[in-house]
Amino acid sequence: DESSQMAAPSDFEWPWQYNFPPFFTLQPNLETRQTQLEAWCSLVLSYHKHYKIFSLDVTEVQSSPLFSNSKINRKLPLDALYIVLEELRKKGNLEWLDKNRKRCLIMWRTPEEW
Amino acid sequence: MRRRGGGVGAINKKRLAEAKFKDKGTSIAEDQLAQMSKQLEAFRTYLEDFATKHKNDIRKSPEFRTQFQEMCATIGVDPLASGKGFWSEMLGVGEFYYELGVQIIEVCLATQHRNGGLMYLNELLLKVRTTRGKSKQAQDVSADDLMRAIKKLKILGNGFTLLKVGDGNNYLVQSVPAELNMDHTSVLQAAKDTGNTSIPQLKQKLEWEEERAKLAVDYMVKEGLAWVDMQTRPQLYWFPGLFTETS
Repeated sequence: DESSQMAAPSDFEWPWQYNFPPFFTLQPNLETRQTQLEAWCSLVLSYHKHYKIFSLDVTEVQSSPLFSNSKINRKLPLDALYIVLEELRKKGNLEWLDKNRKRCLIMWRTPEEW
Repeated sequence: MRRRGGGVGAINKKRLAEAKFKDKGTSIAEDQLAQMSKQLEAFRTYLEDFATKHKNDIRKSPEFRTQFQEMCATIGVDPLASGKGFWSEMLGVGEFYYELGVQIIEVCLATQHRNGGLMYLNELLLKVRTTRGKSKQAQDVSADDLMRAIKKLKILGNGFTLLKVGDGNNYLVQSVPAELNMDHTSVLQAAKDTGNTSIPQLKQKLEWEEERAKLAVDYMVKEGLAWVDMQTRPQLYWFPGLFTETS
């Protein structure tokens, strides 16, 4: 399983938003939400790139530090998580592996870039 | 007949006197004008002396700049009003502040996506210093300089505003043209310590009705100044411009 192949545990640098509590609530203002989704997409990609992870399991990842910050006690809810993943798919960085959208590939380089 | 004749004489006399007064008046005014331009000429020479002696002090030292500006304000002169004014030509103060204005705009634009166009004056100062480079002269910028430059930026139209928060020298720089009224400023005031606030907190702190608090925060969410946090009860409104990462 690729997801268990953690790279050397060098410190991943979290963006400032990760410690900003409302980052974990889907924003009602559409412009703000766009900014928020952009930041989430870039965080997911850089996290996977840093730890060299190529796939994502929706059920597992919900408790991963990527989507839950225990320090500020905030967690990205499932519906918001799916919106982030859909955004990544639209950008060409994600491909679902099953119909039920439980597992997917995360391509921090798009197929064109490879 | 007599009356009429006397009347004409009186009128003539009066006219004569008026004409004399007028002449005298004009000559006094001319004198004053001549004297004034002489004074101005002298003033200019003094300023030239002053400039040659203190030019570098004004450029280098924020305190000196402040004092010079205050002196200008007392005699009713704005040395920054135009780059062609002889104050700014002589002392280069205009150039200094216009350059600063451009740097302020750049920093605000670069951070707007994050803070929605709201940041503390002190944070702006740190960022402006970073963009100015490491030399000693580049670093000699004060909060007072920033405030002066920002006041000049207002001439460009709706966009740059200084908001006083709390007591002392705590200011927020607003770089987007959202209209903030007294209520909105009060909300920022209430949020300044923690970076967030809530409806119950506003009701209690400001003795507001629920509707008023809701209206104010909803507007600020709509303008992109506030983010909503629904993972607490009551839900919180966060202001990225007031948020500092406490690790």
